[in-house]
Amino acid sequence: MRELHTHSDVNGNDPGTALRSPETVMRLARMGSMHQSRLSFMRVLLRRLASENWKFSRPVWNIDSTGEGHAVYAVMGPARTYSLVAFAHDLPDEMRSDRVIATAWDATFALFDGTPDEGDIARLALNVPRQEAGRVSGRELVLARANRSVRLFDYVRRCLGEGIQPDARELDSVGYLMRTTAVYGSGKFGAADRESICERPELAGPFQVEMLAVYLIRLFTFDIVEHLAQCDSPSTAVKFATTLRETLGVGNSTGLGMAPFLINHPVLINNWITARETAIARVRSLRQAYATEIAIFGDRLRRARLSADLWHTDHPAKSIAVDTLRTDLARLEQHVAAGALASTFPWDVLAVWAGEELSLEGQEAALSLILEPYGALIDSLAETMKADEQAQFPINGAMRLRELKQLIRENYNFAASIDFSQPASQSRIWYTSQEKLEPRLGERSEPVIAGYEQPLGTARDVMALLQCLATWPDEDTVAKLLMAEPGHRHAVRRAQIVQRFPYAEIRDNTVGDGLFPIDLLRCKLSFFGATHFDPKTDRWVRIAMYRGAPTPENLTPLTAEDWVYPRLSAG
Amino acid sequence: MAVLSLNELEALCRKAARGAGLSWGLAEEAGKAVRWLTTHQLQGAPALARMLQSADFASSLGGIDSAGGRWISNGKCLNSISAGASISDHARLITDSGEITLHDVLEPLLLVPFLSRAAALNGHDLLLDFEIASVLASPAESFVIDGEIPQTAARAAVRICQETGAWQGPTTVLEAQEIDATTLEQLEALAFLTYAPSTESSRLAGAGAGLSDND
Repeated sequence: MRELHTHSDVNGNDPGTALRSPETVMRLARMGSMHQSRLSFMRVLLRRLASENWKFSRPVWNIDSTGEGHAVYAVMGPARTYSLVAFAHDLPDEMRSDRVIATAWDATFALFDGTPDEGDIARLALNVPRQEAGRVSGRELVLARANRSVRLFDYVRRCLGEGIQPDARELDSVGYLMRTTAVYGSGKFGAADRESICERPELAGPFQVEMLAVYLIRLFTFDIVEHLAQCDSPSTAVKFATTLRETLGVGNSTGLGMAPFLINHPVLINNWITARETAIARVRSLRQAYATEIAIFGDRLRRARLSADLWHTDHPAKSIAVDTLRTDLARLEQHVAAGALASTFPWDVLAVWAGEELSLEGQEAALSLILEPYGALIDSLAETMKADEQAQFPINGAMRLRELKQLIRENYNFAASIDFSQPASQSRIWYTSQEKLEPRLGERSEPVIAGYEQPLGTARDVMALLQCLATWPDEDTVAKLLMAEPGHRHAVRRAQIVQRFPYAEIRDNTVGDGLFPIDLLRCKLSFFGATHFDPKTDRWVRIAMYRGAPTPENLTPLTAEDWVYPRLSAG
Repeated sequence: MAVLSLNELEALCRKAARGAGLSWGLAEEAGKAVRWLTTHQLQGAPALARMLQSADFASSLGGIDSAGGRWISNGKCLNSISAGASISDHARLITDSGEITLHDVLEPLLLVPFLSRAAALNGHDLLLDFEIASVLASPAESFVIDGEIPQTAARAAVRICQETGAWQGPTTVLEAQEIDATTLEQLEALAFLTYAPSTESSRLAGAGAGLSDND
């Protein structure tokens, strides 16, 4: 497969290994099968917290025996301190809902920029528990809330109260004590704009501030269950063992609100995908794999199989996909044991084999796994994952329509084969509801919502633009076109962006009857570093974050490197 | 008065512009324009709110006749988001030898962000001349306003300005800005027009839930 290399570098590696094409990568089915990797944002954050030796403390714990009150978690880095202000609530079961229409939660949080004083806490106490109905300020970087996994939370509380540690298998069956149902950053509800903090090295990367908030929320989930067990049974209660804590993450429950994000941030998604694809290409270009690298890969692969075993979902399609993933990982392990990495360009050969033999889940898992031994080669790519969407916003009006037509034909080839005159090709409609001002997906046939479409059907809109261009001379400019046809402005902008940023566009129909919105959520959440995706419907998914991650007292450069895949039990 | 983050302000203005009838592509321009003005401490939000509510605004949505460099609305007047976006689109096409004239422009303050962007794309200082006031914008995003920009302009000209030396305009701010209650109310009312009414079926199907979370 790789015998014909002629451009090897001095080490015999092939610097010219091409990135996978956008037509291959940016399909919804593949995006909906993506896995976390070394470049995922949680891993990037923990690497930094460990290497810079950030200090954690809990200066305030003011929570009563009913579980009402507040706590403050502080984390101090080389230049700045951030504080999670947590409000604990005693929520009746009938009020517990993960959906955005909820009005009360088991816990609510704000990440404060610096160290809050009593005035700040008082202000936050009036607003943070109300979430969207309250207002925060530029001193706050994140607003979030979480609900308990009632079953596991109550179980752990009972065990600790009785003086025993919970059973590890019970912990594994859920994976978290609480799940966040929203983690808002970037200026939402009055919080600080990303632009005002993105020059700070620790917050420059995408979603670093949100990932920091969730890491601190995880500490709160351990402390609150321990506290309540202690209040229940002061004479018998025990501390929650760190080794068990570390097997738990924070859950997250996400609906459609997140889905349009990838479409609305084309340059950002391009940069995420480009970084991961570049990492994959770098590893595939290596002429040989050394024993230590093969050993790391083998270890992570075995542990990835354990992780897949812990992945529970009742969703019919995803349940089959997870079963297939388990089979795929087993086959991958056998294939490697049979000497698959002994050839030259072993990772490339393996990737080609995976592409031919494994499911999309298996392929994407394998490609994330081959990155594991190569931190020194790829970790710096994390710095390329931010984006300045603003800089790419202006339209090039001097472009001739000949070029616009050409670039549409090149980049939207996938759309040319979709017949948008067929109702099924655009049966879905993205809209915003009056109720919670959140994105929703409806049926175009519903008259009430038909007039409220959001511009998220890019393939269809660009095809309409192409049709319009048929009546325009090639020599005319984009500027002239848009003066007469302002309705196509959004599509022109996207087409020009995708010319410069090939992974900017999802190369699939985002308004057709075959759309699974959770594919969009999965892609984004995999870049966060989420694992164990558990779709509840086609547009609602639960995940685990930081499952297996070291707690602050155990956070070192070594543990920050290696936590995503569960540990193999001794023997 | 209310304090909105810049992201909230941009989103509100984008939705309000869409609610008032601009295409999504132009509505995005409106959001960016007000954000730019606000970060340069200019009152973009009230200008947008006034324009979108103006009785003549609807007639400005029918496109621009640009024959001979004279930009005239196909309706009664030009709105400065459509006209500004076109200035930006024409940035690389503006030469020493010609100028663009705009006739009957609503809220021309909103042209300033587009002039700034056009200067950056063109590579020369650009002058926006209202006769009673003018705006000079450099490729480096500096600008100076001379005089008071009117709420409507019968005529405005855009041309390259060669004779300017080195100069420095206002700096940007990156913090949330106050917005007056009337403007906020007007923009929110227009933004509301982009939201679909809720029905029980859309509530359940749209977000995809209807499940118990007490597990």
